[in-house]
Amino acid sequence: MTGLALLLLTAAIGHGLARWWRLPVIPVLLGLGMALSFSGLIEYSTGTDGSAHDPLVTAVELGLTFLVFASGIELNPHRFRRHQRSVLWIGAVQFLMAGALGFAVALGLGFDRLVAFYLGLAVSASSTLVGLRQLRMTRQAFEPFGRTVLGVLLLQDALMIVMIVVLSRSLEGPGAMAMALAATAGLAVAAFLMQRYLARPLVLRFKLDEETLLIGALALLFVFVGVAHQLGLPLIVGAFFAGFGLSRFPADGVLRGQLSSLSDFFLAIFFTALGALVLLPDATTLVQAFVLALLVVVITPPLVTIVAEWTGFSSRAAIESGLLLAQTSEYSLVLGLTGLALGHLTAEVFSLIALMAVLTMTLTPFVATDRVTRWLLPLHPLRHRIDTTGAPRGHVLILGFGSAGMWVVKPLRAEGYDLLVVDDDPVVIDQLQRAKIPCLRGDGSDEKTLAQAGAREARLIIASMRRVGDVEKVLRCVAGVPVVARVFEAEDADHIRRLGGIPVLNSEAAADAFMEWFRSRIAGRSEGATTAAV
Amino acid sequence: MFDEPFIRSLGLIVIAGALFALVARLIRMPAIVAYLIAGLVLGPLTGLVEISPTLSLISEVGIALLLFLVGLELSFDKIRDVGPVSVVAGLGQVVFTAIGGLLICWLLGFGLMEGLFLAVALTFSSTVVVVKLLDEKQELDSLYGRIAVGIFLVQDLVAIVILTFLTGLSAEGERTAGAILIGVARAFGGMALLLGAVLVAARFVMPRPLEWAARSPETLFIWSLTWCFLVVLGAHFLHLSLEIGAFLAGVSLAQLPYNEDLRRRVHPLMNFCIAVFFVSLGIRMELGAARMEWVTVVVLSLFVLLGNPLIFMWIIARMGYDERTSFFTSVTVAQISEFSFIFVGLGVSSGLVRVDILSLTALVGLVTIGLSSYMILYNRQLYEFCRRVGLLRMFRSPPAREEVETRKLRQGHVLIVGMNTLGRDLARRLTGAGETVLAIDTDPGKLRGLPCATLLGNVEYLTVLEEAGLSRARLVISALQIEATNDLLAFRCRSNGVPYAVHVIDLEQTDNLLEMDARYLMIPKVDGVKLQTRELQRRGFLSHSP
Repeated sequence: MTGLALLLLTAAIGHGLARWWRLPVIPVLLGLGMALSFSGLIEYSTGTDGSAHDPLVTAVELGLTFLVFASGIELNPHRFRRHQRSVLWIGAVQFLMAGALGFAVALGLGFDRLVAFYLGLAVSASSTLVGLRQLRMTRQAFEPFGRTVLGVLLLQDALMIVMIVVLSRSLEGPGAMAMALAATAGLAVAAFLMQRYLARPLVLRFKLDEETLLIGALALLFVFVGVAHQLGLPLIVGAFFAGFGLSRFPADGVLRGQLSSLSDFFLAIFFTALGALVLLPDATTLVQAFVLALLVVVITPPLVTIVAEWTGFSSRAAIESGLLLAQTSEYSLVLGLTGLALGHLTAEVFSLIALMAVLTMTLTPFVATDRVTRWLLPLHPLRHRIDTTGAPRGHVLILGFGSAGMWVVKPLRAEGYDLLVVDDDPVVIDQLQRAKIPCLRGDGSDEKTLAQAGAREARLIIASMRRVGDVEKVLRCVAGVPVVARVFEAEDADHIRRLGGIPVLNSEAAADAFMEWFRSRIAGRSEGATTAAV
Repeated sequence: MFDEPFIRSLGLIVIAGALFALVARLIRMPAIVAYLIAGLVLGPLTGLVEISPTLSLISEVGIALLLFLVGLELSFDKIRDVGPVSVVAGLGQVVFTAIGGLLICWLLGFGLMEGLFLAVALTFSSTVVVVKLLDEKQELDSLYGRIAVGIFLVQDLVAIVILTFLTGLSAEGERTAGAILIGVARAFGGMALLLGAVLVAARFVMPRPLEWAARSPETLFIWSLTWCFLVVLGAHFLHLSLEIGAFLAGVSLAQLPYNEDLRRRVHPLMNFCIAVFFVSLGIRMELGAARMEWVTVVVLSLFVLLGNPLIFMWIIARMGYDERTSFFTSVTVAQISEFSFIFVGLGVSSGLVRVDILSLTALVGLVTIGLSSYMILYNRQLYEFCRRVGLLRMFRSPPAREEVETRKLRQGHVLIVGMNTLGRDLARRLTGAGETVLAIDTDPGKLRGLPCATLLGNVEYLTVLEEAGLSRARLVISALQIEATNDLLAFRCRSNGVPYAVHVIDLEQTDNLLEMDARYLMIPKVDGVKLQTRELQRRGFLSHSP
């Protein structure tokens, strides 16, 4: 109990510091775990090669199982079906290219081929937990860009699972690897069938209470883990497919709340205990960790940007995606742990992987920002290849077309205004060109784009932009021109007003429309109505 | 490096527990009984699982979390009024049951020392079993629930005193009576010290940091668990039980405004660990030779199942509690505790009693825990039956008062989830329109200053929606910008036949939400254009409404 309390206390400090410093919690927990280990406050009872009944090993083991199970539950292909192409291309290219470069650099650093392969894999995938946190903070998780990035992350998790299977049999020859892959495919098919035909009816028919539901889901987890063990696969492969088997709505939805309590607890002690596994690094390990971390931070953004833009992302969204994916994954740690357990990696190499994770994950909140994106935008080689219609004057400039753009354009056109629409989505630009509406592809908050669009000479600017910071930049750039900006939060509206803009509060409008419906349909008690405001 | 036997054992425990719990649900058997049977199958019947120290640790965590939850439910105010009855009834029952048990053991032919051990073992009731069942029934904060918890905590203290005494006895005269007395004094002193420290922390230390942490649910959750285990360690250091430490840790946080949300977050983790505890308890049962002594088992079990409640009922009725409260409280003590096994085990290891006394205790434990679970779950029906046949007249308790439903059930209200600008605006407008509104959010900061009732919690937990009265709501509105949670709410509303209005963040979602019978889709991006058009008209950019 003392060991557990110490781990929890460390995790509590880690959570507090992460919240205070606005950092992802994983690198902070890993760092504090390392500090515990280096200070000698905590140590594994029989080293890292084989230890029964060590609470730290148990913490790592249970945490690992829940981490993989929880990420399997999130792997609902339904969520990304409209972005399949982008997800597959970005995910696969980053995985292969970054992996190949990582392998080459690791060889250059003097590692043998097997270890270099592990290190290559460790830099090939990005962190789902860190990426999700960033997307939630910027409220972009459910935007098309966010969905694609999440899809990429989950695809890479699945690829890492496959690679862990391959590596677990790598020393036994191609036949054994093929057998293991076949067994994995069998498990995947079982999980798919369960996801498709079993999980939903079970949830709907039995209407289980929360306790039975939770214990049932955990039983399923252990059944898959047991089957994986019988098939000679790593236990986490079973955990991953058990999660995948429950990833379809409503099973994933009803379980998420129940499992989040267990995940929060086990992940907190998992990452802390994992940090405690790390040995005090010598100068060589530190240099190697820096080199590989640098590779991730420098190579991932351009790699992702190129592919993302090729699949239809705007330059800015493509750069943002690249920056968001510039860290190693929690699965890199899982991979390192598996390599350690299989005897493929030494404790020093595992420490190197953990240090790399701490460095790159800590950097993410500082790198994946709007400021860095803007700093990088001018360096984009294709950026100047934009469709331009000259710089008009006395026109109405619409920044951001979005889903409601046509409703904005129609009345203005009817009044006889000259219009110019600026949007960064190529699909939107294509639609506008077909509708013969003057348009310009580009970032509406960028000074050069605004200059090309004649923003300072516009009669009126209507901004519908994702971030209030973008509107702020427009306001600073076009003093004297009336700028109407649609925003959702009241504090954003206040901010726009203070800067001299004319805010339109979308949420207020939605509340107006709702109240109208409510008075007629609910307050009036005319039940049975199925009106939808679409 | 992985401890595969541990994962295998844990896996078997969870799988067997789930299978038996599913069957138990179909035949309305309490989950605890199902877990115990699962344990018997894995342990004494097949020998598939042996309990490792790590599994014991998970069980201990389960017990700590269960008592932590009880503490979170019961603030100091709630337990203050049941203090006297808990002390008198708790101590009274220990004395009377021990005397009665000793007498029965003597009649059954046991020697003095074995009779004494068995009698004391029969005295203690299981805090974990009762609290788990009361929690399932959501009656922890009922009057009888609070008295029961108070009594069990008193019994925990008595258990510590007895253990101190027993350790003195088993040390073969090395410890003097004075040393034993010092041990007893240390237990009470420790209790006072821990209580004082926890009270000071609850009043002066915890509120501000926890308020800061509360804006991040994960941070609050981890901080609270850490506090729980630190107090448990403190209790251990002061030679107090894990249960007392965890309970005090919970009580110290019960006054905070986020205790309900915290309870809901701790609950799933507790459910997992406590299931492991009960299955492990079944695995540990050493039934052995006791199966041959079924007459003794039946007599001792009947004494616990009937004698204990009778003694208790008599004591509580003397203290002025009405018939129903006395009956309900009494039914909770109709089983022996896991402490009984530890106690007899100590007797065996010190050579004071035979090994088969331990298996006898285990079998009595199994029978009484199993049957008393039914008695507690169906206490109302049992009470009505006993009253009808006149069994309760002899106690001459004050007549039962009308049962007062303490929890006010919300009905016909509008439930709004997500207090962003849209949610807060709707809460104000609907309240202004005379609707009864309940606003829900995970961030206490966003619930401040609203003119309606509020509830802190995450709607992904079914218990939050139950507390919010989802099934009785007139309308549910989600202003959230989290697609997965909106989908889940749509599913819950459809299952309960409650109309649902939802904020659409991405137009890709609309088909899915309409498929799930959402009555109204709020699309602020579209609605905003109308408001913008009015603004442009007002400023002279547009001349007429399009």
